Amino acid sequence: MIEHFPVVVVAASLLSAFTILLSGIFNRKISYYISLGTVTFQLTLSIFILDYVTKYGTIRYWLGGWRPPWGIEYATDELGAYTLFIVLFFSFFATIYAKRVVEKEIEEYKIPYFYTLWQLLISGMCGVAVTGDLFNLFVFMEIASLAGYALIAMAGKRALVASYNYLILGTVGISFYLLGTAFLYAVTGTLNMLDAKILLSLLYENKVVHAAFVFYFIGLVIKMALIPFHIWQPDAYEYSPSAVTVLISTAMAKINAYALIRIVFSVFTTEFLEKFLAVWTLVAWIASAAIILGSIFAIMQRSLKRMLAYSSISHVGYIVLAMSFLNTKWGIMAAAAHLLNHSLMKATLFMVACGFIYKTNAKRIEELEGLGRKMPLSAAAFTVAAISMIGIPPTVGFVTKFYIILASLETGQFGFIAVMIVSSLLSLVYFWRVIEALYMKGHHGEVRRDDLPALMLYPALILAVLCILAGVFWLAKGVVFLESIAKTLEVVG
Amino acid sequence: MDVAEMFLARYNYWSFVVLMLIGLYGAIAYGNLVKKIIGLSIFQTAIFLLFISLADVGKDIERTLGLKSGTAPIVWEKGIEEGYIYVNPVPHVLVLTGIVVAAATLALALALMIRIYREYGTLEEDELKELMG
Repeated sequence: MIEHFPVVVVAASLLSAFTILLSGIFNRKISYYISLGTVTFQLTLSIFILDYVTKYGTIRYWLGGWRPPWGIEYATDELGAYTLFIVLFFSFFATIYAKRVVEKEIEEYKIPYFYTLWQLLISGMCGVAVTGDLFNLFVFMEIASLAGYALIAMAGKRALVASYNYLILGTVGISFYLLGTAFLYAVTGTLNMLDAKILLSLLYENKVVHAAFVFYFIGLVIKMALIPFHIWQPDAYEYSPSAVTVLISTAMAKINAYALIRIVFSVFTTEFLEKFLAVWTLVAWIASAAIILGSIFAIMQRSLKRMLAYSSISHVGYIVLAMSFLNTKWGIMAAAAHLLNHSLMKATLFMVACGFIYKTNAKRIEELEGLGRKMPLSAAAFTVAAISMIGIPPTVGFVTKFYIILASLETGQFGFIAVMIVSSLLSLVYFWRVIEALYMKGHHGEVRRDDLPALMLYPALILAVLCILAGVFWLAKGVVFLESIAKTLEVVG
Repeated sequence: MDVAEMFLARYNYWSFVVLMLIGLYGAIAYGNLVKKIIGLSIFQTAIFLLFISLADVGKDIERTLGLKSGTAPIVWEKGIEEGYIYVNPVPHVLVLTGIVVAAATLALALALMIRIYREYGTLEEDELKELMG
């Protein structure tokens, strides 16, 4: 029974997308409820999938009964099920959050189209998480990206240009991915990830395989917005509709990171990377530069959403840096944990930041003065997430840094410990400005409390509490789960 | 294999390289949004050309073993007896899917350009930057 769930998750979203489009002709109010119902259903299924996979191992589903490597296979292992859960968990919260902001920001007649694209985006992301086929991953990624470009553009004005630039760079990135697949297909003649991995193990010296790896890496790194390729990202995050910012900065960003981990470890393996250790160390230092530069750019911003966008660029660096440790399990464990950790923190921060815009139209940091008293619960959620970003134990931000520090201690690369400490200090600098504006500046005296509506406030509060609870979980019991992910990706040490 | 053969017998691969570079240059270097999307389309099409070229698996065997290549991938007993090698159908399927994706991308980009033009009255990147401040 549960073996069929991965394909049901993807299909449910696709089906509901077109149901919303059709039902929107008759009733525009119902779109939101169909969307929320579908996401809740998918989230329930993904919890069953995650539970099943941790107990009994990978779910392999052959579409149409065609055996791989000829047919398309959905292979959902621990990492895939975990990513699927992350995607749907944040889609769920973002959908709850979306109701009010969408009513405010999107014209009424466009609302069914909005939720149609919303479901297509979720469908694409789920597809990437469950698939075990290289070309299928490309198709799902394009479904998600195209829906994403259109959603960003729905805000109009500046968002149109932001979306256009994202479209150009995103398509260049995904085309590089396709080029990598072409090269891999030329030497192995297969598109199935497991089959490709087995066939590649004899071809590690092949020049075409090297070229394929470089194309995959560059393509996915453009999609992730690692530092030299980040130009599209701040505009896209800043100008898009609030609900879309929350979804793309959490689930969408993680899907690209997941695809990179999947290609690097499940198709090319650590054995391949160890042959090019010098190049891979260079990647680690580029990621470190991304961490530091992203934070410095964040300090220079005056708009709150843009500052958070640059902070996301810095956290993409964390994931790539964590991936670059090959001889220790702590590296990949940090990367896997950070998929959830960063989403938790960024979802809270963006929900509150967009909430400030919703309530008071305050976009710049200095306009936030006194909001700590006017909107105490939202400001509290923001502060908890900000503390987590800085990395104070036992929050989730600390867990990632702790694992990366463990990894660098184990491999003797002490430089990265310094990177972690500097990054924490820089985060303190840019979040301090916001916290200062919220609580310490502004006129004193009586302020009328006027917090966000419940549908926007509670998702942010729940995620803020989870920033702490998940941190405790990772430090206590979650290690076992992360170790099993490291084991499936064959990173040992 | 001499140099002439390397260039002439594999002309499709060379055109792939040239087209890909032209497309990538166009997508990145030009300031006009229409030119950018033209470049991007050339870039994507170049990748499809590579896939299609890969499909013709019999080309090298043809010369060494005296077999004929390039037939359709259908069961054809006479063809098997006479030593025909069929074309790999998988890349064609992939390219078909890829063309659909590329068309969707192009359509979305054109729709965005119409909206941008209505909003700002220009499609030049530097003018847009000025207007947006």
